[in-house]
Amino acid sequence: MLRKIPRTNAKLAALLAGLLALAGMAAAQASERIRCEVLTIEASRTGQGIDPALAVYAPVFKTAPFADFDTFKLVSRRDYELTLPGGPTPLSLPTPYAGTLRFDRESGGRFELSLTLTRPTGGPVLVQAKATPGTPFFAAGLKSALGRWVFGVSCDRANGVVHY
Amino acid sequence: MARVTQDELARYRDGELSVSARQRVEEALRTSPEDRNYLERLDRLGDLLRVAHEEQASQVSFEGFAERVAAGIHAAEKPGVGERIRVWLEEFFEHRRAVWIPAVSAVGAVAALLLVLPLLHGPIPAAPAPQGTAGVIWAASADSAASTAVPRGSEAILANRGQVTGWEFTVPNDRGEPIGVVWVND
Repeated sequence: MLRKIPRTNAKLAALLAGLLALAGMAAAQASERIRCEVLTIEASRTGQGIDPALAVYAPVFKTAPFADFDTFKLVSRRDYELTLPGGPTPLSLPTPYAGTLRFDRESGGRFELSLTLTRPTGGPVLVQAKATPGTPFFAAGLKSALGRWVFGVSCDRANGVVHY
Repeated sequence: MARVTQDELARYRDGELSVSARQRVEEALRTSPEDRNYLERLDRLGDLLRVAHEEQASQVSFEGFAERVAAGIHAAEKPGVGERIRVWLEEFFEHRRAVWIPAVSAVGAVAALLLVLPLLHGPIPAAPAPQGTAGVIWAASADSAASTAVPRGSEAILANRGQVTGWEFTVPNDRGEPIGVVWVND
């Protein structure tokens, strides 16, 4: 036979459960982390085709605004871990450019990110993007030695896996 | 003639005998002068002891008794905060099971529900392609696809268009997912 739980104890149990749940939600919110991969690609008209490492992007690079180039070379592929809340994370970009990536928030199942590209001449470029986990966005057009730089950014949850 | 022991007489005097035993002692007292004499001696001895105790009690002073007790309590060493918390926790978990067991169970149930709910969502259908064709540019992880309840894709804007010239594009992949592209006129 179950013992009847006094009403006071039931209220205390509900209060304790609520507090624990709130603490858990706060902890989960406070520890939100994502992993972002930044691809640095040099687009040019040097007739060398698409880097085999970028073969999966070939159809995209044949459409505007990339269609003017026939060569796409993967220069670097780097991972960054961003946290929320957190400040801008410096990116390793080709000289003389610099940049940061910041995880602003997650809303409606999308990561909201701010990408800043600093160049020696002209003002900084500020790109704001919303992307579902694992989906990239691109910022391109900065001059390179042979053509233009293309930066691809894709983020996923820190425990997620991105397949190419 | 009924005979009783001295122990029975003493217990009779103290009212500790059963009804039948008491009747037997009273019968003996009616017929035995020795037993009556012994009972009288017990009564006198009891009176002497009571008087002696009363005299001792009258000589004890209770003045300041309460203050001395309070001073003794304050003089006792107080347990530290850690000790008090430990004792409180032990008491709580030992005697408040009706509180913490349902609470922990409820939190566990909520946590399990939060873990299971995302798994109940089926695969997310791809949106129709808004433009022509485009290749696969980024295949999301299965984890992401399962946990994302919104149409997949990205969008990107040039936030400081007043300072920088550029264009914004939306490039669909072969699954019809819009991919945001910002092209800067450098």
